[in-house]
Amino acid sequence: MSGLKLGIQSAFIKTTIASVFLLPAFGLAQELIKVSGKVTSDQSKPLQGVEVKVRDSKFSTVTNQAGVYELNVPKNATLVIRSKGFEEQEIEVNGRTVINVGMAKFDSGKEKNIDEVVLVGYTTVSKKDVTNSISSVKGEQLADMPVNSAAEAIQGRMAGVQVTFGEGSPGADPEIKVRGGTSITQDNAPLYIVDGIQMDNALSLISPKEIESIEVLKDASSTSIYGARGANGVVLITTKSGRKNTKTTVNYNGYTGVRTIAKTLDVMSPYDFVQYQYELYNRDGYQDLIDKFISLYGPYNPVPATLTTPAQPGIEQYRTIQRRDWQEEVFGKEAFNFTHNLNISGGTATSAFTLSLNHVEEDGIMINSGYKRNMANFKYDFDISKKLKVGLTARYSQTFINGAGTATAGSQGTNRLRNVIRYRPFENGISAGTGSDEFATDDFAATNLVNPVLLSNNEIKYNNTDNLFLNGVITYNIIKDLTFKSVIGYVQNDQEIQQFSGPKTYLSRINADMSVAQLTNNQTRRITNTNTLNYKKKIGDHKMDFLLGQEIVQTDGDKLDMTIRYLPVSLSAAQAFANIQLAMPPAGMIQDAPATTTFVGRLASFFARANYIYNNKYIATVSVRRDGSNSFGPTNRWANFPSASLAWKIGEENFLKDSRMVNDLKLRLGYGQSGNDRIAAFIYDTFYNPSSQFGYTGGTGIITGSAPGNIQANPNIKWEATVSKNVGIDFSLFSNKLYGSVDGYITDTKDLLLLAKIPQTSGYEFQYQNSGKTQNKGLELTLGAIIVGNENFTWKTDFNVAANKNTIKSLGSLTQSGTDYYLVPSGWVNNLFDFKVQINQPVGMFYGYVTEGRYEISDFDFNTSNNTYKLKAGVASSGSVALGNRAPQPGDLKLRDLNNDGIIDTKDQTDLGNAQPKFYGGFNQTFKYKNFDMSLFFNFSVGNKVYNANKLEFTTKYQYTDQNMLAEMADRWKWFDGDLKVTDPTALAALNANTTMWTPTGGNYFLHSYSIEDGSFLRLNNVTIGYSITKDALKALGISNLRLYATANNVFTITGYSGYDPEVSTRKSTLTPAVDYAAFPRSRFFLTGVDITF
Amino acid sequence: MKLNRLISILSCLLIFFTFTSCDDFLDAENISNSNEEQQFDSTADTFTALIGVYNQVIGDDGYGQRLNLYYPQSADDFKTSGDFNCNDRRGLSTYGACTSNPDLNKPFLKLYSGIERANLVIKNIPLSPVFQSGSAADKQLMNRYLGEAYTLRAQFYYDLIKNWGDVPMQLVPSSDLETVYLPKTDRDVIYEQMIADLATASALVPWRSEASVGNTRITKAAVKGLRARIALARAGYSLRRDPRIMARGSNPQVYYKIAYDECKDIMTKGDHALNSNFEAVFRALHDNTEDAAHEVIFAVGAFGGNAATDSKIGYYNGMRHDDASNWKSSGGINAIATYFYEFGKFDVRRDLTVASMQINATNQAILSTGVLCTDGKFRKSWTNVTGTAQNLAIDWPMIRYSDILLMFAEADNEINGAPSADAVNAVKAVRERAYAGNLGQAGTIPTDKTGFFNYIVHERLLEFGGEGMRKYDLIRWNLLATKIAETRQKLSQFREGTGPYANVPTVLYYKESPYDKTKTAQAALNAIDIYVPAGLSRADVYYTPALGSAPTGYKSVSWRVAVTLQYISDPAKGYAQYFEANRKELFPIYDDIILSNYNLKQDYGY
Repeated sequence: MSGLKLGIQSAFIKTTIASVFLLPAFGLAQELIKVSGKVTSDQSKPLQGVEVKVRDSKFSTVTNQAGVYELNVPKNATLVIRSKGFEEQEIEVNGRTVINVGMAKFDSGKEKNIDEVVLVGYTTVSKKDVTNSISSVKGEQLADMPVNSAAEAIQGRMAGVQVTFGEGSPGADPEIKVRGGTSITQDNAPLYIVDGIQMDNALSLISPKEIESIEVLKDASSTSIYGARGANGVVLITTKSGRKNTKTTVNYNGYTGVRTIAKTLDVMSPYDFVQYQYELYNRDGYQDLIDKFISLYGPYNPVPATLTTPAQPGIEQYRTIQRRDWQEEVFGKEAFNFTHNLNISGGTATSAFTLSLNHVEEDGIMINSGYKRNMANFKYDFDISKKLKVGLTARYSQTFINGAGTATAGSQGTNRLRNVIRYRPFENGISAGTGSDEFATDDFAATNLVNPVLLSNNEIKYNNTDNLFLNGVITYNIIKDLTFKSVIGYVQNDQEIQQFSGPKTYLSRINADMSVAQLTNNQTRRITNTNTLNYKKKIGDHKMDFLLGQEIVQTDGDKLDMTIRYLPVSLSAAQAFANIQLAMPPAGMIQDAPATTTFVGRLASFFARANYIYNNKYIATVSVRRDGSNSFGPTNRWANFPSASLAWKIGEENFLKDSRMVNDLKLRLGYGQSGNDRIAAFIYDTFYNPSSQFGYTGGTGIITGSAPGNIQANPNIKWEATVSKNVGIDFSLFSNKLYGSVDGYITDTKDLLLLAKIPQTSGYEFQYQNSGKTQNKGLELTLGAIIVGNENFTWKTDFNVAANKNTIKSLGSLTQSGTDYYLVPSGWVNNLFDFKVQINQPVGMFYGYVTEGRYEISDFDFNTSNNTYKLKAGVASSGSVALGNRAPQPGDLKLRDLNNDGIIDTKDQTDLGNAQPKFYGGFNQTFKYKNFDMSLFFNFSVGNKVYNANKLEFTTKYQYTDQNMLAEMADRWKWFDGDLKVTDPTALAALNANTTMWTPTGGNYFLHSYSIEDGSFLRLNNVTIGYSITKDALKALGISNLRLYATANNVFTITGYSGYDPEVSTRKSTLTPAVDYAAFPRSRFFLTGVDITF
Repeated sequence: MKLNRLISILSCLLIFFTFTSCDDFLDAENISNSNEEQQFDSTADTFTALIGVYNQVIGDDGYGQRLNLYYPQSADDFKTSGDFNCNDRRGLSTYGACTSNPDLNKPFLKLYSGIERANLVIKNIPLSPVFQSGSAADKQLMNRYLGEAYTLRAQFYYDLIKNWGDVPMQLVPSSDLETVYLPKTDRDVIYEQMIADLATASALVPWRSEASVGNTRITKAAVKGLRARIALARAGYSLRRDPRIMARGSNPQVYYKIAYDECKDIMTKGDHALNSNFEAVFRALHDNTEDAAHEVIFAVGAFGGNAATDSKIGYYNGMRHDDASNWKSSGGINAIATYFYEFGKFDVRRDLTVASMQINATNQAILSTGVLCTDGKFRKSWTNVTGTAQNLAIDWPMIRYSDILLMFAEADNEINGAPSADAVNAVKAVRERAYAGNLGQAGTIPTDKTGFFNYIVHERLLEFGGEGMRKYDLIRWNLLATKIAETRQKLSQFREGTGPYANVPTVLYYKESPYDKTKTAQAALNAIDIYVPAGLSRADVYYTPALGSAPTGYKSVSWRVAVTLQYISDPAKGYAQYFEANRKELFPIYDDIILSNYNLKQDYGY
């Protein structure tokens, strides 16, 4: 351990040391001596260009070609030896004149885990002294993984941090949950702090290449210092800075690759499709339907030319008809990707800078989809004097997401995937389906199909986001040990969403067949100012660290919404956006009024923290924060959030100090309280909102009305408080070859801000209440091992797994009322209440019927006089639930009569499982052999269920004909042997001897267990193979490092799940997770890239 | 010195954000919202709050589609088109709605949200400084808004009670209640309250002639008309919770008197009258104007082309226009086949009320089959809107002067045990308008109590067909079961061509004919070239058996043969197939609403 010191040091420590013993004496009392030596690599090769400098001084030099240096230094100085790619060393001179140095290759994961510092909120501490539960990822760990979003890069890498992408569309927002999330109805996203400044959705806005480190504070003993916003965990992102005293380096990293759809769903072939239509049209014997089939698809049996002109080939023609694979046509694109990262950084003795540029161009696999990002980040640190330092960051990013996607949460009318799957699988050749792309009046809210390619070309969405981030830091060393720091940040987010619905789209059809443009402009401006005073002192065995701070966060936002209807159909999307004045309402119609709203958020805080270490063995930390937020009424604005944590470094005790097996062992205990103010503003009183949607006509035109929304005011609304208890052990064993940590926690949230369902007879549907309670209990394990570590070959593995159990303990006023649950619609189809929120159960419980299979002939009495089947007495009928109130027939879907009352009704619904995994995590294997490197990264989830709503929809008849289904429904119950309807029980039984599926159900959609599938998976998320070209070969080109690599993302997924991908969640609500409805299919990504440093 | 520098740095930062204190900082006002106090501090702001109450009458879940077009089906006049499904509008129409029927959800919620909005207005106007110490003109305006809010609240409760029976009642904003978990209140209690509120309101709201507003706003006659309507409902029958039977309200005479007095006031005032042109009353609803006689006392205004402030009247229902025609409307409400024959041959209301024609893909007028005639008081082609638009800004006639006359006559008959001359004259006025030009065919009005009552029962069937009143009228007279049975019997005779339908033609022969939307309903029908056998007048075609085969050049359309056994009693297609007396007179409450309030029960056998 001797020569190895931390790679990243806080500026503070440097300053302190400088002021403590170097500055007063330096150059005056000290005698200078000449020191020389040779610097070699661990393979004994001389190293050129290695920086050798005296710590905290201007004295420095670099090694020559032979690796030799010479330098005049004070007798008792400390040398700092630095070279990129190698571990930094510090060596005390102690009067020696020859100091040879062997440099070890910089090795992420090894050793440095032990000594690194971590950011714990407003300050850093040595990881050895951390008392809280914190997961951390360093930039170099992400370096192997060429991905465009930081969220992808950290997925599966931190125990207890769950990163999921609801779907595979370009630029999809990740959902990040720390330890399961505490909230039921509110957002569970953690708080993001980038370089000290709050920044929403930071992981989507920052390029992984510019990240120095990410720390996730998981327990309330660490998040409590963030008070009101800490309940869902805090993600601290530090971006890369330049280093002082380094020569300017230029790094380029670029890659290009191609994405393809990872999996498609099998649908019925044209022949099966037409056979199915025949059955539908002929089943009930209505003549008009029988005739309609012939008019659409031709006669079932061939008709010779002698009887008709031209001859009719019959259904057999569909065996050979040209098939259209709509999935291929809509999602089959080979989508290219180009990513460029350029980083220039360097520094003088008093300043350092870094400039990062990032350009990403990503095609989506769907027609009209893609993602572009341009970003520039400039970071500059300057020491005005030894005492006063300033830093400045300016970042600007532009993100452009193209594509309306496959669905819009909240509206089944815009399910575009439906068209892809259900549209007839062949060309319009014969008169099939005329009018199927027309709007069907009678069932306008239900299924209606449009040619998916036509639709994809008519529904356009552009999402432009500009993000400006300015950050200034002033550090002032007031007196010895006392530092003042002020951070001022300004974050501005401008989002412009432009949507266009051209002819044949749903919106167009309800607006006189004219095009519709929707324009939304959103701006949020946030000013943050944090001022802290930090006092660090060491007296003998006592080490103290005090922090006192004050913070304000001021957020203002405004939004403009416009819907422009009645645009001429001749306009393209771009023309429409540029010329909305061309909209011309037909006689008697008017445009909707544009609407603006503002948002005002204010947070004022004071906080303090004290850290005390005794004898480098016993550590105690206490903190308290007081927050005031304008989300609450004047009487409930302020709240306090205390925390305390303890750690015992058992490894430092005498009985273990010299152990060969145990290098480090630490026990941590934490207790803390944090809060949540994430509710809609102004709900503590009845507030009126003006809207034309609340309007009324005075004959013609609309008078704007004012009304409160559907959430009842609650004057008593106050802070939500999360109390968490954490026990953890950090260990490092066998000469640090095996290291890791185990954490156990219980998080109780009381006064939960709950959007509680209240009796609708109040005139409202919901009310924010503080009376909910949830609990999360969990266990997390992180393990790392260096399995092989020799000169030529290293093999390391990192593994993490977490288990979390979420339980609802109370549901507010509902609990007091004596009921213990309420139902929630996920909304993929209107009015289907398919989730249950119940006390003593986890959030996200699927609620529906149990699939029993189908009714067989033995369930019926056959009436020979009129060839009809009647359900036997005692066999429960699923008619009213599954069949649109039709009496069951053989082959119909059978549901379980759970309460055995002989009727299948709402009382037979039950819990069908939930989306929470039993455990989840990831493991990473890193290999290095000479100049080759390779990494394999897997992530997994076990025991989670997925609600495959796609399958539910795509295996039902619903109220329409002429719709295709999933291929498995070709194996359905058959009533027809060819074109002949079979009613005789024996013949029917024989006909269905080999079929397994039921008759596609009619009536409304409902949830039954058939569509709840096990979503466990093991995914090879990333494979990268790289080759670094040795420096010698590149010297002539001025290149100091060159690495070529190839990567495959989403290589394979082992799962029993039948849909596109088990990692799915399309309804963006905590209450209704893991619904697979019209998700954008996931893609597989192959790329090759280069990384050059000059 | 060092401390001074620190202080100077800190104060620089604080000056950057100039705040006098933390609380000022946290008191930032959101200018997009206003609290109750701000909302009612001027007549203009109060008016927007009142508009927010009106807003809950219209829209898809109000009188734009569900309350007026879905819920009132079926009686002996109209039904909803299409096959039975317990979870949609056909479930409502066939009395087979499940508790999970989503069409039962939003209208219920909308009515209660209207009540909450009205409660806020009713609470806050008296607290407003403008009301307490404003100018006389402002105070009068505030009073008027208050009266309108009372009236709208009464309308919301009336709509709730007529569809769901007893419901929770609250008369103050929800935030002022200890608990919002309210159980049902007996309907008679709610009716009492509304009748009292409407008496208050009628003193606050001006007559039409004193108020410069159109008929989409409530004026005094609308308040009084609603009071009369509610009084008659209070006096009549309804399905009770326990025991679960159709029973009459207590002290009916008191309420007949209220209805009598209110109608009499309106008749005496003379601000409203029968329009001599029956069709003009409905035409005016199509172009957002008022008919010349102000017969429509209160129309629910529709405008804006959206689901919140407009209606789907004329698009969802009304005369059918083919999808490919210049207009597109689906004809979602069909006349019961026998309804056409309830009208006399010379009754001008027949061809307007029952559209026995439709517009085909080439904009030609063609005949409809005997089972697909539609509610012709609404016709998309009467608006200026063409194309596929679904929101046509057609207003809904909430209360008409003819209703005042007939309510007056009914109340008079009940109070006096036989109709007074005034009552007979009132009925006569309605009848004779329908027989204008053929007064000789109008027939005589009975003058005994029962005969006069039965006459009114029938006359209301003819006068208000398609206006969403029939089912509720039949319920308050306890005639729903009777009339459904009677209609089913008539349909059987109709199918067989027996009894009064012996001469009804099985088919009709016609030629596609040009459609002129400016023609009256009757003239437009007459413009269709229908085959008239020699020696017959055109009007008699509907009352004469058809030829065995189509005359050259004529197409045939099923008329009597369109009525099949399925039409009468098929589980999917049958008329009022799932009706059960003493149960289905009311709808069930939507599942989720019951689930959200442990004090609320389904009752009525659901």
